[in-house]
Amino acid sequence: MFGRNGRRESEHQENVGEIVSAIAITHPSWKLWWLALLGTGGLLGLLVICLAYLFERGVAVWGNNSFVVWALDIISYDWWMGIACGALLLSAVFLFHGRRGALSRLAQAVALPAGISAGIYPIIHLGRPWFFYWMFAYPNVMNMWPQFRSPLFWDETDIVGFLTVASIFWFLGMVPDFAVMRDHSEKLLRKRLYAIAALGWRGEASHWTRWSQSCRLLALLGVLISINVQWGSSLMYAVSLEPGWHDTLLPVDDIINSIFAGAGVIAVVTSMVRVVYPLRRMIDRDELEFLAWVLLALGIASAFLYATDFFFTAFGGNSFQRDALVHRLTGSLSWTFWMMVGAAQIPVHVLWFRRARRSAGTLFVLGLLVMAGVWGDRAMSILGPLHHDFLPSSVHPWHATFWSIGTWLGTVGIFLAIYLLFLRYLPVVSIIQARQEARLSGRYADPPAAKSKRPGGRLRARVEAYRG
Amino acid sequence: MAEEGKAPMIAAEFGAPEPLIAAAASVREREFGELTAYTPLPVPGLVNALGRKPPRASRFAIAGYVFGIVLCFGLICYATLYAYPINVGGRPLFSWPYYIVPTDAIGLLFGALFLLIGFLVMTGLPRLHHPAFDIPGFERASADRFFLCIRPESPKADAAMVERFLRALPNPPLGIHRVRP
Repeated sequence: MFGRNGRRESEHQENVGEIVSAIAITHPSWKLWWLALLGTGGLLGLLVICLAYLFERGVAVWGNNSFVVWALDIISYDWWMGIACGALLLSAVFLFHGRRGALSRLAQAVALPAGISAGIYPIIHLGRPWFFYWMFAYPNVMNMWPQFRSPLFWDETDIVGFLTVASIFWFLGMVPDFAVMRDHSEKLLRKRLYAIAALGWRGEASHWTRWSQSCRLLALLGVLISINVQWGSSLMYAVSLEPGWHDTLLPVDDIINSIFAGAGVIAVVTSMVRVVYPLRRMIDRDELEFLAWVLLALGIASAFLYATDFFFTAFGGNSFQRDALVHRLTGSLSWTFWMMVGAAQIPVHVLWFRRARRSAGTLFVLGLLVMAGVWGDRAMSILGPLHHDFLPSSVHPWHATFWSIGTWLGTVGIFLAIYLLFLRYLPVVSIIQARQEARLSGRYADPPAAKSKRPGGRLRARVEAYRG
Repeated sequence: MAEEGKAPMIAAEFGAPEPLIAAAASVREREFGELTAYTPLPVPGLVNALGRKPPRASRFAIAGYVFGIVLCFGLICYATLYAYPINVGGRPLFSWPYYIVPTDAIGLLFGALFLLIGFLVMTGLPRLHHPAFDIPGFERASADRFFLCIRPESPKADAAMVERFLRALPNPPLGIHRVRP
């Protein structure tokens, strides 16, 4: 494959590094980026205001009441955590697949900020959030231990474990890419910062094998922790007494719908990055089609689970479960059920058409719809049982307030802020994986620009050449 | 930083992985000295060609996972059985199904942590500088150049002889550099 024309192929190898580094160094589409960051700053400001009001007045400002004790706080937590787990799991699958380097990095980068957005909820929904460290087991003068049988403790270990695995997976995968960016940087400060992040990486043969093994193992740990978090959360529901939270279908439902949401976010991000950055050769239409098949498969799986739930409850369930089902389809919160069906499960079937699968615009819209749909699913499974309990006396309505929606928008701000910084300063696509793929398939044939002696030279011209 | 009396390191520069592997294999047969290679991407089979055993990173992950589950499960058992036994709704003190979710999460946490620490310890990273960075044009080792470094140690191999040998290879290197250790 190399041999005689080795020199020719090595040009393409260098190219991948240059294109990806050039995004961070020359910053194409910087106007759009600043505009997005400005909007994100607004959302973060809203979050600060909402949190200040929340800490001043208590969780009742979210509209939570003595029956609907968990409302938008836990819905948003579950939604974000689902996105985070789904994205981490899919990024691991893309890594194992071996040919999806571009998608894998974009997905990894979703997991961590989504996990952080989720992670603030268990803290702020405490009555006294400034004592959040009481959840941890640590030696203290009160001689007290946390309640290990409580889902609160499970949540805390799940989040800490998830964030640790996701951040190590993300960081270690980027180390060789940082080395490439270090060598492509011309400004001293930038070079030094990338050099620190690269840990002095020099590409030694034994380091490469160790790195590849570690990345694959971390991907495996990522899959396991995602499953643990999702199955753990269904166990947390099951230890309560509400109707509809004890089905053995719930763990499967949780994991499938979380991967579905993760795939939705990845579709949105990928199609956006493809339009904004000069990466069309790396995120090509085959990549989009692969993602489209993933979305379609998950949509079918999700609908299948809904159908299974319906048949089991309608034909085998007890009267309370049937009542919960009827309420889910026709009650005051039935819009959450129809949101999942109408926004996520039905629209993905447009992906049976080849043109839809290969269109970034379709994937962008579908991704947003899927995110909204899975939000509906989470709202349905949390609000439904809480506001319509076994006893008529425990039926109580719930309304979202400005503050609960504002807090949720604020967590969107956290996610976007971290993601925008990632797009600006870090390698958007795994340079190493893209090189390996290029080596295997020769996909990046015919580089348009001339070879330059210095690796950092003529970047801007090359970025322009790759646009389009 | 040059140390007196040490032979210079010889760095052969290649444009592709295949000639690098071939060169590594033939240099290794002659036993000139310690071999290292620097490449811009993982090259399958290179570690074997250099005469090293491929590492097994999985033991760190497994050790970390076992450490984590023993630590977490032990801590919970100690707290709920001895340090702070408290009856909640008549449930048994040793209610192990409740401990599984946090135990697994902490196990995975330590698995990832041990893997990272093991990676850093075994590779000797982070490191501020390394003699390899003194090779002229080494910044291309992260772009499109493949370097094979030989540190002549055996008495029969001096630098000039190694260079002659490298030049005579069927796929000779694009350049040969001498670097003071």
